[in-house]
Amino acid sequence: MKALWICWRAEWRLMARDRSLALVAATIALLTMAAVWSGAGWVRFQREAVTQLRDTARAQHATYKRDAQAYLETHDAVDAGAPQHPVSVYWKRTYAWRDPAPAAVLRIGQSDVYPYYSVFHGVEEQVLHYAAEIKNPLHLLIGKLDASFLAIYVLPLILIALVYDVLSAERETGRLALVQGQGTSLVSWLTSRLALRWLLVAGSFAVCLVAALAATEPAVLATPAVLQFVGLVALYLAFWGGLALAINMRGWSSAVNALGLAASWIVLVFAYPTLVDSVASAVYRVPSRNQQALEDMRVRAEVDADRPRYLEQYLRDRPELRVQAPPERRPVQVYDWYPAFLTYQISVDELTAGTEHAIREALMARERLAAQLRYASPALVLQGAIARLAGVGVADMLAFDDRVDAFRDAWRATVRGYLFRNEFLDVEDFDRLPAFDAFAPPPIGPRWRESFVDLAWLVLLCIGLAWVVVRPPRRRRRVPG
Amino acid sequence: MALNRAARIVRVELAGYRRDHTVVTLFACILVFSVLSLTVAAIAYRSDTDDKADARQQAREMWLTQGQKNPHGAGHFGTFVFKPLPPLAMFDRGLDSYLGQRVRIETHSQHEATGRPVEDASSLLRFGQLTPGFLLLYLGPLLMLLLTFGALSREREQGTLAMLLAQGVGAGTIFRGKALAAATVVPVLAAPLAALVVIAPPASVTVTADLLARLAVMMLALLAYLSAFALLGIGVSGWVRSSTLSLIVLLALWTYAGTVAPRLAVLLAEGLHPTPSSMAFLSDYDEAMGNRFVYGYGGYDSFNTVYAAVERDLMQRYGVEDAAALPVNPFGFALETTEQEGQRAYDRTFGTVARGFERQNAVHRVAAPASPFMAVRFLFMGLAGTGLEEHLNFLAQAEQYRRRVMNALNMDIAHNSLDPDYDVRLRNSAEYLRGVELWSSIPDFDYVPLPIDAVLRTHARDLVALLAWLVAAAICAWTGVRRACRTA
Repeated sequence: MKALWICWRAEWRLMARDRSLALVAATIALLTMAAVWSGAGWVRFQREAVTQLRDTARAQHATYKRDAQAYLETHDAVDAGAPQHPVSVYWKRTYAWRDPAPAAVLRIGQSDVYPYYSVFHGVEEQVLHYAAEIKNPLHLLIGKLDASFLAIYVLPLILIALVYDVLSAERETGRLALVQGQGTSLVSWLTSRLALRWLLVAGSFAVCLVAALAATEPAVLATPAVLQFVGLVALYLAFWGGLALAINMRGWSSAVNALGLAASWIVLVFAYPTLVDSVASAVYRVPSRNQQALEDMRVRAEVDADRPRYLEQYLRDRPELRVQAPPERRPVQVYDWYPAFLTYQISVDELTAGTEHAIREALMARERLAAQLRYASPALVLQGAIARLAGVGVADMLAFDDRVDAFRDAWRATVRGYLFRNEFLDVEDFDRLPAFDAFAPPPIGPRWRESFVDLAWLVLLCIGLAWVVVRPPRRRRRVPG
Repeated sequence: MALNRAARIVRVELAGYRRDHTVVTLFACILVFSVLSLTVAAIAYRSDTDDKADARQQAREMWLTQGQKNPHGAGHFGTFVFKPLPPLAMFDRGLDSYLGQRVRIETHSQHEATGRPVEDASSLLRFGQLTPGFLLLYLGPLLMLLLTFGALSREREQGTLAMLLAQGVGAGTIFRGKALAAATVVPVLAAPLAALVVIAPPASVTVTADLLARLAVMMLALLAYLSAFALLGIGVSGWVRSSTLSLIVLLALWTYAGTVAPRLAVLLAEGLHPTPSSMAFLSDYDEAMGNRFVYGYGGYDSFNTVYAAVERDLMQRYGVEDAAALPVNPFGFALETTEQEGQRAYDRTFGTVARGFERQNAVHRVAAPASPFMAVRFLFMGLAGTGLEEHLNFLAQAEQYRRRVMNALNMDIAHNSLDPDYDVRLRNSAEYLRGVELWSSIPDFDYVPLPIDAVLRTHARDLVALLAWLVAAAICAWTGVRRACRTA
């Protein structure tokens, strides 16, 4: 232990005198702050959009009630154009949203591709002109700077730059023989060199991350997400440090070590993930969306041509909808066209549900295959873990879609009653219309179990590399000096 | 004599490349993966093209066989137009995965393009796509740097540089030899691009002069791009004191240029020119439409107001006292009026978004000198037809087509549906039905891509940035050689 402590202390003194390491720490600090600021900016944007949505929904609800009350005070009967007319309610905009998870600041993921809010009414499933956020496609292609990007792509390179010659440089300068001649344990000495450099990179990142989060998104510090994130990143960097050590132990030159590590980075961080994506896309082909759009048109035309039959079919299963409201509950102007129109919409949804389901199944199957293949690359393991923590994976976004569908079905079922019965709403009936709060997805939890699996796998990889480094030789191995 | 010496240096350098197993392996991997990815891309291209051709045919057939209905009903029935995938997308998919592939053609509404492939992709798409473009633009420079990082520093460390200088070989000869040696590798790496036309199924790709011109410019740009990195490697190798340090510096530059700088540019562009939220866009559109449709009441009967105004105007124009005496149907004109009102609102709001994107892209172009990767990426996307300008061109043509279709339908009602007995509340004139004779008179959508001269004009700055990088890299290489010779 004493020898190990001496090694650590000596190495620390050497590092403290090296001004380039201060530059490394400063670079990590700057990039981390920029990444957190970028991630926080996106989260803030989402929150503002959701707040605007909530405020608009609340204001609109209040306006409907106020105008409905005012209408009653100025009219003897409810007619077309009254807010409480069932057709007016059918056209009422309704809102659904998804608050970003607390840890969403750490990874933007798919949240800039998939919608996180929706506006619909009885006629249109989506009133928004852009279903997802308005994003420059060039920015979607390049991707945004966030803490996850730094951790997966950049930090390993910085660490590699510090440790690629952790042993080879000593050998090339002749210092290795000197160290070995002092009776110092090679493993202790290398471990101290590696560990301090790992600590510099991981520690700088962690400290700057916490400081930047405290300044931009302090709420996330109260959750276990940051601790999990830092732990995952630390293990991920330990993998790269261990890989550097294992390569150094081969006895190659510093330049070859650097080449080997760069090649490993390219394979594990770039090539393998893109290969997995290509394989998953080839194995699970998503049905053509163009054909789906045309099928939708075809079904609409078929149902439209036979609306009375579909209406009759619908009413046969729901006889309660045949019952008309008493005369005093009916508006002056009744639109008999709308029940058939609503039935037409529901029938089209039912008839095209199969294709939508097939597409969803293919998407989830791809994600499952990618998840199974991720263990060969620690970059994929880390990416998946962070996406889960931040709630920005494909599964999270599709789960929100399901919630919106369920809400829309419930809203439609409620309004359907008024439309079919030709009954206008009372002012207090507006408060009984379904609101999205009851359907909102639950907050993203700490997801300890999934994180544990990822952490355990990274730990296993590090242990495996450590074994490669320190395994007892079949014959006595001599580190080339 | 100097030429002979330069040629000998080239031979020695090439022999050194062949002996370096790591570099040879990486070179072979890039080449093999480029060809494989090109083949895969060609299959995907064929599949996408066939799917869209089939969809286009089906959409047209559905339009023609929609049966007898009122023209306004046909406007609601609508159709779809599909964006064709250009042949050079096999090389560089560019923005294509993040752009909608079809537009709904419908009355009253201008739709944004839908069907972005990224929505059906796994989350791993954000790591990059295995295309020849990705391999050559990202990994090609890395190969060039690995070939040249020790061009001068290794000679200095081994003492051979001093020997060369002692034999009277000048800095210029060394520079020419090193640069030419690296340059001979570049065309071999760029070969997959030239093979594009051969591998692509002939039935899907029509080889035109425009396509060949685009290929030629892409090849030249790729040569310039990879040569710039090769020269950069030579330059840094001359400036720094050791091969290892040279390698580290170049790897850092490659990482910064390829991954960090573009993202910093995104941060800057969005900070300077933020795009509105989709919700804010809806609010803007609502305001442009007078907030008439925000609520389910009050606004939807505004058509009555428009109709009344149109009818009054027509009565004045034709000099009649009674609307029944009009030789045209006001309903058709009222539809056209509301259609144009919506078009103005869309032009304003969609135009704002498009201009916002262009301002953001201008920031990237200004930042391009910090990273040659961005300059060449813009250029390649433009030449491949997978950039933003091509998409905006498609959207503009789709919208012009939609307006022509709706105008034809509305004017048919206006001029041919005289029915003085129509019920004022059933202005749809359900009795006025048309069929295939009207539907077929409206031609199918035929997209015309941007010509190459328009693309080159749009990307002139990127070409200049790339050339500037080449010149800067050459200067760096020349000064590096001179410094290495001085300190040998």
